[in-house]
Amino acid sequence: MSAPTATGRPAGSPLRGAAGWANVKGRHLGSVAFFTNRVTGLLLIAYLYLHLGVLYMLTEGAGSWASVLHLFKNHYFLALESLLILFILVHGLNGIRIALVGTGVGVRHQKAWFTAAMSVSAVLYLVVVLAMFGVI
Amino acid sequence: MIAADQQQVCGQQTAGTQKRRFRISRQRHSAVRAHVDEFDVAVGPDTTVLDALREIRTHHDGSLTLRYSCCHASCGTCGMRVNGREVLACVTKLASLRPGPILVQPLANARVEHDLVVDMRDLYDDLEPARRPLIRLDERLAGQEKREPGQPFARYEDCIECGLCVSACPIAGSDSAYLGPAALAAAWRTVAEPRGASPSDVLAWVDDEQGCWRCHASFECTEVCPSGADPASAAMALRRELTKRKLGRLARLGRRER
Amino acid sequence: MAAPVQEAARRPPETQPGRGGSSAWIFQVISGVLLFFLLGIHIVMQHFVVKGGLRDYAQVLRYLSNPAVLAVESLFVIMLTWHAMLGLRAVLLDFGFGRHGQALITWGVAVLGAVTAAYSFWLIAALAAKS
Repeated sequence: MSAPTATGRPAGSPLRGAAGWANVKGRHLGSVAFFTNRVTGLLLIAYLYLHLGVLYMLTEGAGSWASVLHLFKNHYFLALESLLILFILVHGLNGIRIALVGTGVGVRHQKAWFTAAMSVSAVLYLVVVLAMFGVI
Repeated sequence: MIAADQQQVCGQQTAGTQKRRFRISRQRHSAVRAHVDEFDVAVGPDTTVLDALREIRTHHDGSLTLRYSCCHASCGTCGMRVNGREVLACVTKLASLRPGPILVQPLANARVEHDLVVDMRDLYDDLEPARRPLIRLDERLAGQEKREPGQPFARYEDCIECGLCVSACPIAGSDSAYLGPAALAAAWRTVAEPRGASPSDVLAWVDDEQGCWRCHASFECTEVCPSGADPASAAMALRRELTKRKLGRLARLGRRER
Repeated sequence: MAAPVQEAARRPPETQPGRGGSSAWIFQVISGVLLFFLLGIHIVMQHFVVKGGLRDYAQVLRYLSNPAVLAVESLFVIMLTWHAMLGLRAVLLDFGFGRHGQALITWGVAVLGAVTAAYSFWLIAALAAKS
């Protein structure tokens, strides 16, 4: 058994209640924020490695990269990429809230800040989508 | 008669105006799987969950095991989950719950001993190192202002050690070594109002990846706390205090080297 | 019906001073704040400068021929990898692997981060050399 922790109890077996954090049913805005940040963070990590993998095609020369670009210019692909921007906005703006609240600043207003962060994300996402599809 | 007096003490209504169905988690002990038993109970407009559970125990199934004591949200004994939400059964009116069957389960993140009774010793063990004072000073008491300038009221601490916060915490479930909201709230009270205890010792204790740094600010603990102990703010305040001390140390280090 | 065996009498647990955790938090915040700007710059430079929003091969090489770009993108790689690894570590630590597991996870993400950053720098260097 591992050495006593701060509580003096050995840690529980790994993955005990592993999905417990994912329970947002009936929970409040703070839990939704936590869940959202975790999910967007994990998805962004997955995207990071996907992105790094795709970028490898650049080392194969202009021809390989051109075929990659051809795939990216597809409308459905663009829509998916716009989701990426949404995740970045949500994670980033909620992240500011977490940075502040998690260091004991403005804890009283944490719900309002989450609402504000999500509202700003929605607006900026709209702007980005319009820009991506050439409307603005 | 004793039975009638006991019913009066807990405000139990015997004249029911409707029937409600209860789906109650039953478990002989922690080593077996829980199953759900259903009971239909006659209830009145003011019947609480605790009233109904006692009715079930008295008239339907005497083996139903639960804990309760004061019946007015002071002792923290009757904590359980009702429709997935942590509450004190004694003050949860059935009328406030959504229509339909009512699911009653024991608190989460604690070992179930029997039916709705959980092992609270982990919680008590976690609270002990916090050296939490049980008396605190406050400028207000039940809405009254302080009686004289500089003469705050002395009253009991908010935390009633009910365990609702630990049950609601998303992290306490996956890591039993996490100190948890109750212990962190207690630790903060010691730092904020030491009363002879050492704040530095307590801060050193919570300064751990399984201490205050594990909190992910879901705030569920504060949402379910029946007593206003606000564990979430306490965890954040501990982090603020530790961050200040860390940055202060770094600043002093920088100044010394110059 | 057999009841579980009674436990030995409980003693209050031995507690120890914590082993810190403020550093990880502070770095997560700093890298997050910097990423706000760096990621913003990266996205704008990649997708809102050239016509069509996607750089072709020649445009990528031209972009990476600028030393200021190399500096910013390098800082971006470091901050992003750091923030991502700290985040991954935070998620994994939640699953209660104990002291030993904690150390393993910290080393694991450090190695993963080093490999990720190394690959990213190699990519940048390989393309910068071609321009």
